Amino acid sequence: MTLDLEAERALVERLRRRDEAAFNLFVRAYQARVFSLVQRMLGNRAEAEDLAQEVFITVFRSIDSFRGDARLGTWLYRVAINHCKNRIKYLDRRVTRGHDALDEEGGKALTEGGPVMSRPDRPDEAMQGAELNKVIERALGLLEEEHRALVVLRDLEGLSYEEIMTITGLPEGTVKSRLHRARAALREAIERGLGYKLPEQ
Amino acid sequence: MLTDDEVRDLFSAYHDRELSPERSEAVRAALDANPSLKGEYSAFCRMLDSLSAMAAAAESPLAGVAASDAPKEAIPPDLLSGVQRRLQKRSGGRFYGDMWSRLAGILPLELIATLVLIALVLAYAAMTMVSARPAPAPTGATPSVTAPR
Repeated sequence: MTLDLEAERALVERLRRRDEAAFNLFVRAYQARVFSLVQRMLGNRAEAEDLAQEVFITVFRSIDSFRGDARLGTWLYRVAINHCKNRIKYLDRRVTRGHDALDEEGGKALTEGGPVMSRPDRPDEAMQGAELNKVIERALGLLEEEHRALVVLRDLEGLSYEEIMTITGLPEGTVKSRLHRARAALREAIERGLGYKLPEQ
Repeated sequence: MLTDDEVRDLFSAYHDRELSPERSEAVRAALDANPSLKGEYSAFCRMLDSLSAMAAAAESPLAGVAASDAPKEAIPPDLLSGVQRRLQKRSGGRFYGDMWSRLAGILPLELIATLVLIALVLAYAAMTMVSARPAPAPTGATPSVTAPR
């Protein structure tokens, strides 16, 4: 569900009045995008559920600080990304059971350079659907949060450079160079996870 | 002529068509001249294609048909009610303190209105049928007819 500019302005006005019906409408309109972003950033559904709720609560509390320079959705992404970065730092400091489970499943192998999956006879066989998605998700989880955010925003959420600049507050050149480094790092992590170089075709 | 490492540094911008026409042409020429580098670029593109496919699969309306196949990104059904509960608790009951605002959050207002309307129509129909039905004749009794004298 995407709101046009007029509808969005009206919604923001109602949100500023703390109109509960408007807030319900707002959550319904954006919950899929927020949850998808948070889930991809955190790679953990339970954490994502909790954090997605916190994102909307932050919006409810701080809608007065929304100046309207960007679209509401872009501002919401910014709030969500900041929440994600803080949560990732928090989770990194605290060794959670989820991280232990990931290590047992193969995260350790990824960080130590060993293959997560058994090497297939034909590398392209491993490049199929769900298996590849798992490797990519694990590899994403190994990126620094700044790099992860850029890959998620650009390559998974499909945002433009301009939107990413607004969300991250970074200048265009920095977004481009960091995105390049992030993609290179992701490729390396995927290849470590697969145990071989990504096939060309 | 660009070096291989310079071309590698431009993979991302080249893929996203963010290079000037001259720079883009230089990268294309370098890739054409070096099959190994071209292979690296193809692998790079393939990784980005996989990311796009992953994003598209999660957004596919067919993806969530079976619970086991549901995408990870399927929205939790209680996300809104969870937000409402937290807001109610943290605001000390100032927001979402009444049942109706929370119910309206869980069920769309249109659905609630439709359900209420259906209930009213059914109630009205039931009342009309009861009042229009003729009174049943007592069982086993024959109407007594008295002959006029």
